[in-house]
Amino acid sequence: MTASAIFTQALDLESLRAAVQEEYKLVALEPEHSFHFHTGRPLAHLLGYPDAWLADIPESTIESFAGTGNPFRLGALQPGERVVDVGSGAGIDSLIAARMVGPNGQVIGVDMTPAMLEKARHNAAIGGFTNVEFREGLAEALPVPGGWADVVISNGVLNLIPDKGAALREMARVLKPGGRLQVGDILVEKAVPEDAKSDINLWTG
Amino acid sequence: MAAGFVDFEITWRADIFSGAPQSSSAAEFGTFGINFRAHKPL
Repeated sequence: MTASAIFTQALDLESLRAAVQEEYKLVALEPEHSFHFHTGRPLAHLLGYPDAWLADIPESTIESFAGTGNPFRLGALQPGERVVDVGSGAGIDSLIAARMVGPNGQVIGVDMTPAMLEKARHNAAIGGFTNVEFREGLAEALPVPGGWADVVISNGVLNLIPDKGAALREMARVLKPGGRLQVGDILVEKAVPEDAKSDINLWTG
Repeated sequence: MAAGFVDFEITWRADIFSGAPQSSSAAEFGTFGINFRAHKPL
């Protein structure tokens, strides 16, 4: 039995997903709410997003940003590239990527939270983004063909997934050979007690 | 190779939780925001 299998047995996966969806539904619908993490434009500045990247992103998308890093600082996206954004939320990174890859490129954002998908789709439409689409799905089962993407980006999502190996294998599946993985996430330096690993409140807060 | 990737590299880390509106368990576990990259082999 793998470590991740032991891990997920101790945790009710459906309850965890429901708790994560509820937390991020709140980020989508009530971004002014007080969270245990920074959000919105102040967070984007903290993570090194220049104003130029945000200039034509709808404010309604920016206000629901809840990333933990900056995938674009890991390497520039090139015109014409295909990008998958795993856990795309309200769509800020997908829309930035869409501008970077240009009209000959394509971006697919994947998220499991309906409220985030609705917000991302609405803002892509009002912002005139024609080379991005948002699909409902899980990081462990991406609704994207194998070998489709030049780059997979993700921001603040892997830490919410118990079986990180499964999510990473799925990211590798959708990448072309030689494709790049560019991720913002979190690193926990201290050992997390076993009882804490099965505490859903700690996963979301 | 891990999970289909090679050349894992963490390029940035920072305390991204301090000063958040609500108290967080992040500091208790030494939690940092990071950027990392890797490649799928050719």
